[in-house]
Amino acid sequence: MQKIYPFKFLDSYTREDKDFFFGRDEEIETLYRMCFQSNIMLVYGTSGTGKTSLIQCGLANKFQSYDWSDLFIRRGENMVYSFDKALCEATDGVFAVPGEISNSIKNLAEKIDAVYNASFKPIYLIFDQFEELYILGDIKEQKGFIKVIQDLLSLQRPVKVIISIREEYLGYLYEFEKKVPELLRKKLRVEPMMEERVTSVIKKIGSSPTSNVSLEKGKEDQIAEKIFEKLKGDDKTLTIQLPYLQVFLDTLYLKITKDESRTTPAVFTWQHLEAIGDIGDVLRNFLDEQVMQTAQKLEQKPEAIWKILSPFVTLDGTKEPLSANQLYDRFEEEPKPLLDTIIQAFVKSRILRFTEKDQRYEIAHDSLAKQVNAKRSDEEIAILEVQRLIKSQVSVKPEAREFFTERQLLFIEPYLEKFKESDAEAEWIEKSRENVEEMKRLVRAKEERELAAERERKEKELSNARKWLQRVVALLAVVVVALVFAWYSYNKAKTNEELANIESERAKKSAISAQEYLVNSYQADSTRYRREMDVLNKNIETFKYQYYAGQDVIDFDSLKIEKLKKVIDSLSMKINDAKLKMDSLLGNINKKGE
Amino acid sequence: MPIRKIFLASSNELKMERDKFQKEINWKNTILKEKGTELELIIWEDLSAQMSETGSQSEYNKHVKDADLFVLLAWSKVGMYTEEEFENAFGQFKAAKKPFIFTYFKTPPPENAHESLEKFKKKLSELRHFYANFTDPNDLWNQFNKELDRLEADSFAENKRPETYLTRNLIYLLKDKEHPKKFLTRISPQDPENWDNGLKPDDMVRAQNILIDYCFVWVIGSQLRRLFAIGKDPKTDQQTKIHDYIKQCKRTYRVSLQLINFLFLSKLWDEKIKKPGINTDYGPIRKFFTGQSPLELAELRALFRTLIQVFQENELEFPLRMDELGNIDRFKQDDSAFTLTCLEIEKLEQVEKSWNQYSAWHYQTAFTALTAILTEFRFFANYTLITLKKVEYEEDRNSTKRYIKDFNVLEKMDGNNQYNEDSNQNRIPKNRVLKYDDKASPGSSVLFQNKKIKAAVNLFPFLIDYNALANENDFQIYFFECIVGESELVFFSINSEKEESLKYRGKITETRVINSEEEKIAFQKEIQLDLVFKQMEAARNTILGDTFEFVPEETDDLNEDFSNI
Repeated sequence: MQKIYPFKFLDSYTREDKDFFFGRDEEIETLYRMCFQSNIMLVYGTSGTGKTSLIQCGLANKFQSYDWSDLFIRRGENMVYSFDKALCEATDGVFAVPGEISNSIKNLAEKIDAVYNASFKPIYLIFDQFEELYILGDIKEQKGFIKVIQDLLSLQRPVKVIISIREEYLGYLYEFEKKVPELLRKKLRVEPMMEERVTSVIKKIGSSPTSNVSLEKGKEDQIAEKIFEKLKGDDKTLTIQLPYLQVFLDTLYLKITKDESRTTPAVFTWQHLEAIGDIGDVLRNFLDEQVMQTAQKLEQKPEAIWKILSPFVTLDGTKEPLSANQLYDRFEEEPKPLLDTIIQAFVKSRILRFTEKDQRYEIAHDSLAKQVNAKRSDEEIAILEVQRLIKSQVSVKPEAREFFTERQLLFIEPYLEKFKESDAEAEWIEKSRENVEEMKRLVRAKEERELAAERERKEKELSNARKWLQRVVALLAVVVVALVFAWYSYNKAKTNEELANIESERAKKSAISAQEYLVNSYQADSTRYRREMDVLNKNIETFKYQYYAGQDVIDFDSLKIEKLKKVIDSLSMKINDAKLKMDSLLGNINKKGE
Repeated sequence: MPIRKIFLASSNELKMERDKFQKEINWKNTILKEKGTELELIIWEDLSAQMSETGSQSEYNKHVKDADLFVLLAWSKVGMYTEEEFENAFGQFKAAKKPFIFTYFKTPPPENAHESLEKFKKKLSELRHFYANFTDPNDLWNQFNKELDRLEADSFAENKRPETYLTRNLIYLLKDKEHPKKFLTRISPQDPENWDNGLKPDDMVRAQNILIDYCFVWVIGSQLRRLFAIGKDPKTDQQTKIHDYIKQCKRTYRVSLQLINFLFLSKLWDEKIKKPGINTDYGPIRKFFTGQSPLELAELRALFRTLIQVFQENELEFPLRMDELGNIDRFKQDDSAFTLTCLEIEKLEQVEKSWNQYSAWHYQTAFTALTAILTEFRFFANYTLITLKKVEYEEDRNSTKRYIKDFNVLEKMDGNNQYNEDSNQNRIPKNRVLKYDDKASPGSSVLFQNKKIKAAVNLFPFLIDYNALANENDFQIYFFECIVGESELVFFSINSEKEESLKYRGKITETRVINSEEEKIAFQKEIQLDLVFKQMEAARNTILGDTFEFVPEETDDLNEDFSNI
């Protein structure tokens, strides 16, 4: 018997994998019974619990091939369009895939008939990752989809709808349930697997006659439990993420066999398990290894490779499927062949997955998306934030839209060259710019009025300063008179030697006192000017801070600062002049004193 | 006199088979000549050797081109030339619809079988060509002889796929019914009996749709749907298809027999209440109620014969009109065409456990037999199945009392507008009907109703709609199979093709405090399902004159569906 590799890595199990799909018998049976009791069913659970595998492999295999025909539908660009496309493609060429995206489906009944006539099998429409309708779709798309499902269920056709959604998005189904009340009547929660089930699954895979992986004989229980422990890490959880289990077992296999083709048989032993790290290490190592390998191979820096992966992950660290064209637009500066090579390298290593139907690439699982998110540079985060900001604003209908603020524009503009915005987005940014200019013009007019008032105040201050200088000049005149008087007294003393000596001593003392007074008064004035300058400097600092904070009045403040600087410079010049004059006077006094 | 050329290619190792072929063809010719046909056998011994030695490609091609039938026999290997020339013949067939190709492999293959054998079989599957296995020269000839008879009946005009043969015959059989009539009028064939000659593929699909949706009663229609689906599946390999075809032919035959037995038993139950002296003490009837496992096909047919006998002996009115049944004795006679056809299909049940031995002719046989049986049971096209989901009683002060009956018609309804709207503008599929009248009726009913005269036989509890009893949407038809022990009934779900076991809970007479709506629904479901047991008990005791009582099985588990309500 030909043995095959039993692990799926990050892919879901499909109908062909029934020999290795274990541990969900109860859920499969419940879902299977529901298929005969309702035309619409809901499968929900946290990410990574295996909802898709449960439907694609577990449920599909409950049916005989002549009783099961499935159409697997992911949102892609638009949920309704993807549904329409899947239908048309399954009609054996009776209907062509519509050329344009629409939120409605023309000839729905006829298309369903054509799909049915192509196989004569009941049609199971499986809407996988349904939360994407709410994460990525707008209200029109959501309403359009609900209408399509209403129409579908009212047709007398052998069609069943299965919706698979992450449970944190259940609340979003409120409107859907209002229109389709039976939506939540038949629902199944896919619970995370507990230790007992996980170890049982590992043992079953290990003992499957068609599996090329087995467990060390006699130690099956311990090995299965150890694997669970490794996956659990330090968490006090009783469950594990199933994709992690797949990555872990795949890594373990490759470590043992080094066989990328995964055909060599392997026996998992206790020793092998001891030698491998826990799941955190495995995932990190795996991604890092793949990025490093790709970088080396393509002679690129690892950062450049991380950057290419970045757009495939939302800011919240979840998957965002992208077409090749969308990726080319994001990295216009990069050559397309290089991008293609990188994409293919990641597809090969199963970090990226290509969906034929949607023609899109996506990160194989959220667990890897989180790792990519953690590796992002500040610039990448900023670009994504910019994109989200633009998208959120422009997705609102025009009459309810708000212009980007100047602060937002300042944030957006440096990154605009790094991705390609849509025409509508570019138009809205341009309109926002015009709006900001107009606002600034109005603010400037107001500022000019305020500036005029300020100028008047400053002139008044200057006038006061002038008056003060006049007083100084007057004082100097008094000093000059005193010196003249001292000079007179000195000459008079020459005629009377004794008296002259006495008079000379007195005059000297008097000149020194006057000099001290002048110096002190200048120093006091200087201090006052410095204080004023400090105040102005502080204002400048404040404005600078405001500038960095990005307040809308920045231009006004700059202008004000410039003008105040000029006033301060003018005052400083005047002070310097006064100082020079005083120095000159002091020089004269000293000379005269000598 | 037309001469039909048979080109037989085989390796040296199959000399016995070739000789047998030659001898039998000669013998066959004596019969066929009387009918105005003659067979000419061209034996091309050891094809590979001849081709390599003589290189007589053109001669070979001429033979293939001229042949009406190309027969290839292989055992331990398939030579390179054999494979190539098979492709040649296959290409010729695709271009000119001739020669008809038949491939037979001797089984088991010898231990030293060459790998080319499996490779060639795989190739045939890829080409969607059915091949057959044979064990000895007699087996080979038996199989081929049936093919010859079939082709001869068709004047060697076309080697039709069996489902096409089934479709052609059934549409022609029902040519006076509304939908087949409209269809045939539209395509206006030159030869109405062979209306499918030169038919567009789309029209064949339409014809099959008509058979599934508008002709036969739903349980038969759903089986036909499966048969047609098998043929259309591009992914399933040919051997699995053969297995599936035979399984579904047998299942359709089984369902037909069960349905007619249920009709007679339901009627007999009612009649025996009126006339307790009717003798029903016959083995097949007793086995139906007391057997611990499902009846085999032959046993079901024996039951049908016995029931006819009881009705005839006691001069009871048949549950079907005589003009629908025709000569009812043919169902009882050992040598009637009906019986012989049934025997053909019943033989297949014997090889079920070793299904690997099924070969192409088995499924040809199964289809031919099924076509004949459905022809005999053509009255199934006059009936519709209606399940009563719920009956509500309304009687207000000073007003007339009335019953509101919620019916589900299983067959597809006509018209583009597929739903009605109730007063709250809720969409109700057109096959859901709310009927208001003052006639009391059993709450649990599955009615087998004549489309024209609207007379109906209630098949409950032999045939139940599980979803109606469990208060679920849609319908799920269960066919009674057997009573197991004192607490269990085994049914077969037509929808899921799985055996379903119901357990008696004994809740019918119990008064119970209900704490929630969910609990009420779950409890009501158990009461409804218990009703199946009480009805079966009553039917059995009336017909067999027993005093059997089901014993409740104690369990703490609520029904598995409770959590999903």
